[in-house]
Parts: sequence; C-alpha cells; structure tokens
Amino acid sequence: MSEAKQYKYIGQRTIRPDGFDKVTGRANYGADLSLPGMLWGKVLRSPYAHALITKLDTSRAEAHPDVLAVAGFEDFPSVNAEAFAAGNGDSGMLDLARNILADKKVLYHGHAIVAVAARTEEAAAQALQLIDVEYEVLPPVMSIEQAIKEDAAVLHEDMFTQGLADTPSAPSNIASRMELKKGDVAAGFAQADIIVEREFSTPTVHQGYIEPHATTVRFDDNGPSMVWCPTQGHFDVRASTARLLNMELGQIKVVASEIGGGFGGKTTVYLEPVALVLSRKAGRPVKMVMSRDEVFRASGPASASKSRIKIGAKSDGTLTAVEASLYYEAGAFKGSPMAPGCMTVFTPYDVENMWVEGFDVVVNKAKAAAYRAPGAPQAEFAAEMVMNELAEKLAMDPIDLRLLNAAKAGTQTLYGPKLKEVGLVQCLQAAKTSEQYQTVLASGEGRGVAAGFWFNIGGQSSVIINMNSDGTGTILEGSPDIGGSRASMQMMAAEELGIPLDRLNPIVTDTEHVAYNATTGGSRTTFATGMAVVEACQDVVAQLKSRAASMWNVTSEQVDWQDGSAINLAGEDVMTLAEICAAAEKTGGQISGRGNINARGAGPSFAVHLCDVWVDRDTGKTDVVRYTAIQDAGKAIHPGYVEGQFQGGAAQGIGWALNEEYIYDDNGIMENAGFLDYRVPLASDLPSIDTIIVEVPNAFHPFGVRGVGETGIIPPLAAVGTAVSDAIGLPIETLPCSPPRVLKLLQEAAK
Amino acid sequence: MATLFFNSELEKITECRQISIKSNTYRDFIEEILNIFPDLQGSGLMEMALAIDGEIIHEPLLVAIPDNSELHFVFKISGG
Repeated sequence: MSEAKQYKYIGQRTIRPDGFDKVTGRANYGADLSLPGMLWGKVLRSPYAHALITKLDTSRAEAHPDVLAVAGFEDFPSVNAEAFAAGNGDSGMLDLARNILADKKVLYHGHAIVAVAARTEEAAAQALQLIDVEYEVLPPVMSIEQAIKEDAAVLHEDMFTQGLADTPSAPSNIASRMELKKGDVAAGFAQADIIVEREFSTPTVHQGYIEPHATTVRFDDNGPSMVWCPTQGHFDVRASTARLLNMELGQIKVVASEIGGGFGGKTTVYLEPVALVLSRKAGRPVKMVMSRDEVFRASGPASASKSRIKIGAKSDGTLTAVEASLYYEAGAFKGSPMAPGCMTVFTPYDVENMWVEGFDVVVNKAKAAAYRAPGAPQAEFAAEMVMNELAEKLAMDPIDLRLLNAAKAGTQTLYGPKLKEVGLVQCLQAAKTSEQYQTVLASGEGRGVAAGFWFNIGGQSSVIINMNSDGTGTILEGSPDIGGSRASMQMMAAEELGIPLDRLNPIVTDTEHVAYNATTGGSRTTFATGMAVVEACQDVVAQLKSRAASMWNVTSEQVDWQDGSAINLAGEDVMTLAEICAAAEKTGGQISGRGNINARGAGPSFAVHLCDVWVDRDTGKTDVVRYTAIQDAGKAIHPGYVEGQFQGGAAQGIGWALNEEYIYDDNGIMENAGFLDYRVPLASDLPSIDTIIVEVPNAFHPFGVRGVGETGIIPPLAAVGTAVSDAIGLPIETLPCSPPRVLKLLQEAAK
Repeated sequence: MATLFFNSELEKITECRQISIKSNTYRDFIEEILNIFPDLQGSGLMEMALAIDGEIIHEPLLVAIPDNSELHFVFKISGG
C-alpha cells in the first residue's frame, strides 16, 4: 500500500505554480477580459420578493440609441412556450431558465426579469430604467414555518409534494420528503437511560467569495461561440448553456478564468446564457458583471434550516437510538441539499437504531446553491450540539463519548453501505492529545468539540500530458483550480514520471483541449483528476519505455522505468526522460499521454474541531481565542494546501456560527446585501487556526488521497455553538451567535 | 449470490428490506430486480449510484456484481 512508500515530491510544501501571477496581479479573473466592440449587459431585477408580472414592455429600452439587444425568458428556446407547445420543451432545464430570467412570476427580491446590452455600462443602466413592468404583489413566504403552513401562499401552483405515502391533491411549498431508517428507533429509545431532544435553526448564508460572477461572451455563427467566466466547472457551464439555447456542445467553447473563490457557489450559471443571447442578437461581444448587491440577492446562498434532533443513550454513553427531522430552504425553486443532510447527520456514529426524515421547502429567496459539503453543516450542527449536551448530562468527556460511538470500518451507515477504512477515531485521538485540548480554559471562556463527515466524490476527469523535445512537459487538465490543485497535479506527475517539478507546467485548459471534466466540487479534484494525471503519466512512461526499447533494439518488457530514466534490463544502458524526448522525432514523433477516467472509490473524510471562545457579557460579542482543526486527508499531497483547506473551512464555519445571516425586512427585502453588513470573519477576527493532518490512506487512490475541501466547514457550527453555550451557561439553539442574539439571551436569563 | 438492501424510500415500493441477487452484471441485475419489482421502474433507480461492498459507484453500467457482495442503491452526491 502507498503509505509505506517514500515519496520525492508527494508530501512536500512546494511553491504553487500559479502563485506568482496571483500575488503580482497578473492573473486574469472573470471581469478582467475586454474585447473590441464589446457591449455591456445589465439585468433588470425584481423589486418584490413575490409577485406576478402583469405587464412587461421593453419597447422604450429597445428604442434607446445605445441599446443593441434585449433578452427575456422567451429567448430560451428549449424551455419557452413554443417549445412546450410543440412537445420539445426541456422540463429538466425549466427551473434553471426561470431562475436566470423570470417567467411571468418573480419569486425573490432581485430575481432577474430581463437583460439589455448597450454600448456602455452607463447606457445599459439607463436602459433598465426605461423598461416598464407592472406587478401584482403576492405575500412573501420567507421562512420554513411560513412555507409549510396549511394556508401558506404557494410559490408554484404545479408543485405537489413528492415522497408522501398518499398522492397530495393540492400544491404545496414542500417539494419533497424523504426518509431513511435503520433498526427500530422506538425500541432503541426504550433502552435508553437518557434522552436529549432539541430543536435548532440555521440562517441563510452566502459562500462569500470575493470575486463576483462575471462573463464575457462572443456569439459566433461560423465557429464555436466563446464564453469566458470564473467557474468551478466550465464543461458544465457549456452543457447548461447549450441545453438552454438549443445549441450543440461543439458550438460553444468555455474558458475558465482564474477564480476568486467559489466554495460551491460557482457550480451553476446565471449570466452566461443571457449574455450569449444578447451577443447573438447584437452581433457583438457582451460583458456582464454582477455587483456585490446582485451577488448577495440573486446568486445561490446556502439553505437556511430547521431541525429536531433526538438522541438516546445508556448511562455509560452508548447510543441506543437517534432521530432527526430536517427542513431545508431550497429558495425559489426545489432542490435544497436535504438529501445529503439526511445522509450525513448521524454518520459519525455507529448506532443500531436510526430514523431521519427530510423536507425540501421552497421560499421566496434566491435559489440555494451548493456551499462546501452542501446540507451537512446544518444537519451535523444540530446532531453535534445534542451530542455535546448529552456528554454534559452524562458527565462524560465529549471526545470520550464520541470515541465510544465512533463510526469505523464496517459501520453500517444510515444511507446504506458499510464504511471502509476511515479516520474518525484517529481524529478524535489526535484532538484529545492536542495542545489546545490540554490547555486549561481561562475564566469566562467556553469550549466546544464537534465532529463532521462528508462523503467526497470521484467522477469524470480527463488529462493530457504533452512532452517537449527538451524533456519538459505540459499537463493539460480541465478542473478549475480553486484550492491549489495545479500544484498537486504537478507533484503527482513529477512523482510518477520521476522528473523535477519545474519541468512540468500544469494548465487548466478550455473545453476544447481535453475531454469532459466534471465540475470542481465534492472534494473530487485532487482525488479524481489526480488519478487521471497518474493514468496519463503511466501512458507517457509506457511510450518512453517503448521509445527507449526501439533505440536499444530490445523489447519494452526489457526496459524498466526508475526515477525519471529508462533502464535497459538486457544491458547496462540508461536513458533519461529528456534524452528520450530529444530523440522522439526519430522514433515516432513527440510523446503525449492521456488519462480519461470516471473515478470510483472516493474516500470519505471525517474531521474533529476544537473551539475555545470568550464572550463579552456586556456586548454579546464572541472572540474565538483558540481553534484546532483535525481531519483525515488520506494522504496530503501538499500539506500546506491541505492545511489551507482545513483553515478555510474552519474560518467559513466560524463565520456561519458567529455572524453571517441574510436579514430580511417584512416584505422579503434583504437588508444586508454587502460585506459591511453581511459580516464574514476577517483575519483580525480569528486566532491562528491550528491544524492536525491525519492520514488514513484511501486504498482506491494511487497515493491514498481523500478529498479535503468540504469536511472542514461542518464541525465549526457546533464547536462554536457549544463553546458559546459553555461560556455563557445557556443553551444555543439558533445560529448565528451574533452579539445581539447572545446579548438578548444573557439579558433574558438575567431577568 | 449478492444481497441487495433497499433504503427506506425504495422499501416503500418493494415492501421488503433485502433480497438475494443472482446476476453477475449490473445490466442483468437491474433487469432481475425490475422483474421482481416492476414498480421500481419509475422510482429513479437508474439515476442512483450503486454501492458494492461500501464502494460507491456513480456510473455502474459496466460493473460486475461479485458473489456474496452487499449492494445498496445510494442517492448521488455532488458537492460544493
């Protein structure tokens, strides 16, 4: 197995290939591109959270001398009324289209209605003022409680709850219900000596990426139309855009720019299809850039949630039964991460009796999008809070309680299969012996512990490695680099080929130079694209051996490959990779290797976080004073970037727990759509986040890799929530633990 | 013979928790269970991943079904 092997590059802290361009400002991000003759596109957005569009007249805008095109919902030929009337409508894309440009009804404040393209940004903004829209305002549905009421205003008259035993006769805001069970929870609770049951809620939060959504496009009748954009998945941008516009994949070429953060929020399309419609109509390139306000109001945040958790245990801490009801806001269209929430909520624990139900609920907010481990932070927050309360009531160390019940190889998960080798026990042991856990809390401080689980995924990746005549090579990959993956691809290739890192140049290429790559997400890239890199390297090595064999007049089987050189086993000859490449012209042309895979065997990742806080009882403000993130990486290809993922997840989770939330007025208008009022943690808000990398190799990866990008955001919610509760001596059931909310708790307790 | 375990959602249709499977390939396996439980046809089964002895396979079309393996249909996961 790979863990016993000594590596030359894997596990080193190398310099990232894209670092220089980024720190010098030379890297090109989404909004950096301009083209000759380019127009500016802008979007008219709904001033209401819920309303029927009774009149839409764009004629005055179209008459503006600088306006060259206007686009609306009817410009999506795969989903417009004519397509459905003809039986050709694409129902799978309908909600996506309705989210990008509203169809007769606006479903959230900021919902896009119509777009214009004009010669200047100012003219486009002026043109929006000339569009006449009349609305019939409907009552906004802004919470799960409102949405599931019997008499709630219904967002979609054609939506009937899926997953119920009886077919519903009336439309509902509950899109679907699912249920998972294992064993007999009633019997399990009957065996319990202690039962803790609590309800929790988490707010709507945004991924908070610094770079706004942006795109520049150029429609072309005679060749591929071009789309430049920051995205986590340019192949899927191409696919969605092509389906919406009834184009073939080969008619669109998407170039992924550098990306200024995504965290799941850049896995769908908002502007690209609209811009391409405008460009087609105007016959000019079109650029569109969201403002920060638009990003908050109209791109996909993470779901708000409501949950009820019930856990029963014997007096020695052995869990006998667990139960959860989980409600997730999907935003304006169905499709919250309710299912992964149900599947992850209790996965850290080996419990015989489990029952979970989940509900996907639509509300008048922007359609939810993925955010690091989508669905898991909300669910596991609730479960981990109850685990900590249970430990307190049993007078047990919370880590010991978790160790007693920890999932391990062979644990039957609620979602089905048994786990293979996983590292939760090792993470818990590392947490217990960590410097932070050995530190005695100062007066007024509180401590929280929490675990987290995420599946991680594989999927399709394609890589080409082109070797040059001087022995340098180019790694062409199609996975946008959102966390240092170019470095890890370079390191894995250098290790496989046996040549120095600086001989290999990793490039994230467009949709035409490599075959399909699934979106960078699900913590898949270092795992899956890494496997494709290894496969491409093996292809290159096979060719290098064949070329060396032909020059030595021996068979390929008589050639070995060691440390970047071919070894003639039939003699004593040695030929370096550079020498073989230099002679390649004479032996069949330059060498190029391919790796095209649909990766299986992704290894789940567990994490354990420790959080110590101090709470100012006069203001309710919480300071995180110590924080440690421990996680199983399988094998850390680049420990520095793995630690960065741990720290990034922790920082975002701390923000979710302490301050971040969408605040709406009574009419469903978001009141804090900017970074001044939507408070993500700044460097000055956080302590140095310590990290401990646990390495329990994933047997399905050549180097043992598990994904690391997502699990780290799961534990902070309960680690922080418990620490605050510990510090103030009061239960926390609602996030965020913002100063006003904590102060209110303290004041009410003092009465 | 492999053993297929149904999750709670599929169990609503099959009304049983597990069955033994004779097939050695995914294609035969699907045909076999749809013959036994025709109502699974509209259950979204074909859109689900298949876990074989704990390894989750999102596109199982060409996989072999090993003897004595444990099979579970699992909702496909994406990520963020």
